[in-house]
Amino acid sequence: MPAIEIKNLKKYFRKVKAVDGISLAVEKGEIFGFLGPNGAGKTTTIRCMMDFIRPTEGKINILGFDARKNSVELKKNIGYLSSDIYLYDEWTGREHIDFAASIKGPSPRLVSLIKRLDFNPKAKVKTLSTGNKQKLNIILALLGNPDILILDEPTRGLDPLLQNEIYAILQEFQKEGKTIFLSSHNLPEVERICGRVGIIRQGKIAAVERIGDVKSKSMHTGHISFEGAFNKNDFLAEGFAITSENANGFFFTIRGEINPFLNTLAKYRVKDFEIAHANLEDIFLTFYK
Amino acid sequence: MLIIALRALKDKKIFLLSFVLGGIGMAWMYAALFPTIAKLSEPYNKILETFPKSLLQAFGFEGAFTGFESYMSAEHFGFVWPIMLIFLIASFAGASISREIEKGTMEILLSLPVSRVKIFFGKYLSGIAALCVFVTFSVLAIIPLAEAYNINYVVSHFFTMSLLGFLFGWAIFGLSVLFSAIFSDKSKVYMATGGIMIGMYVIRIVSILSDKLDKLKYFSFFHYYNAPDALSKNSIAPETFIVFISVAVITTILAAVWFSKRDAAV
Repeated sequence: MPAIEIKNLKKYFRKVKAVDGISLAVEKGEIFGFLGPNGAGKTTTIRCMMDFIRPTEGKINILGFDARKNSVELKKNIGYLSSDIYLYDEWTGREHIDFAASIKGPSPRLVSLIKRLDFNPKAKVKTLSTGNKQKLNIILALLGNPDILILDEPTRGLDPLLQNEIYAILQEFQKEGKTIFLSSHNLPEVERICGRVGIIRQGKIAAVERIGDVKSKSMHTGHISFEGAFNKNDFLAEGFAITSENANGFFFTIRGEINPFLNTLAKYRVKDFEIAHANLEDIFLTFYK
Repeated sequence: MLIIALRALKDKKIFLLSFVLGGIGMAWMYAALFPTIAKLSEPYNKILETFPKSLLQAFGFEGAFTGFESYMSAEHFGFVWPIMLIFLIASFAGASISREIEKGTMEILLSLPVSRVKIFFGKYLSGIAALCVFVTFSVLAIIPLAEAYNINYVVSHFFTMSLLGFLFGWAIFGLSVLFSAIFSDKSKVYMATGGIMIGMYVIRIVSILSDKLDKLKYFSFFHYYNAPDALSKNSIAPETFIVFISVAVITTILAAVWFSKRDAAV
């Protein structure tokens, strides 16, 4: 039995089809990445899973229970983190924690978590930085020893060091046999910690793949300027494409391996060079049309 | 449910306290003025007699000042106190659901293992508690104030006024909470509640001033909110109980059902 099973989920806001018939299953003990650009329907799907909003059609089962009918029982076993920071400005972190714990029950890892995230629970939320608010959100999500974590962009607003700490915490959860459903629009993040990934675009599932298969679809974009003459044909290889040219160089995209391109580039004197991971929308347009 | 109610009450304790103190302060001012007014009651009553009776009724004057109770019903409970009550109640109702949805903090509550009905009644209970606190303190504080200024009064009449004030506030709270369950924007709750209350006040005045439109009065809460009868005659009409309790119960049930079924995130 899958830990999370979504069948033909649809959520329409009048004429807007925010989610349009998605189906997927997440196995127990898995870190499942839910990947898609902004506005793809990730948060809407998660809100339906949490019973914050009601599906137009379709069914969601979590741990074998209907996510709507058994919502209260299920939430004892679900840790949730929202994509935006929704906290009470006038409360301190401690007040948030105590309030949630009084309903959800105590958390065995609360003290260590506060220490690990270097969070000051005495400060009022309105005085906290975005990163500290996100730390509090994460602490709240992990309260009560949940079996399933549903996290909507958990590392948003966190610096790289804290992102690494969050990844470590999530991997520890997974080792305890817990299931993690994590949405993101950050492909490297998903590649790093997820076993499988569901790719959502325009409210529909474009693909559900193992992370290895997604990695093979990695894509880079960049720009290069040469100091002297150059022959663009030297660079032509499978997966390489020039998107635009100018007198000194060109803009390019590379699908898959970048080493052949770098080996060719080493033969030239370079004036300026820039390369980055392609954004999700570019990847989707290339691989999941 | 109780945890949610206590937390909601704690969040608005300063706001509630300021209304209670404001209510007591206003009552204090009127009580302090009463001994002087009482000395001038004869010429004052003669002036009142020159006005048409319906006009006086429209603004809460049931006739001549016969004592402290009739004075307070006209001066304090005729206009200022109900306005304070309406503001307080609408604010609690707006904060209970629509503000939580508007600010996104409803997600904190909904992510916890507690049903929507319990969230609703937790918030509802905080509003009712605030109503009780305001009514009790702002009305019954008049008793020691009257003692302080050596004014004759009848204690039971102020308890009757408290009951009337509670029923009036409960009906308004029911309406406001219904709007709060429907709208995701607290300003709409204030506008809808305020609009309806102003409409009812206008209906009440029009129905008094025009014999043809007399029947309209039954559509106004201000017809049933009869402070002069409560304070001077120590009585509340049976239809007041029926209307206020019916409105409060029906709107509360509708609000609870609506909130349970709606999308509670924006």
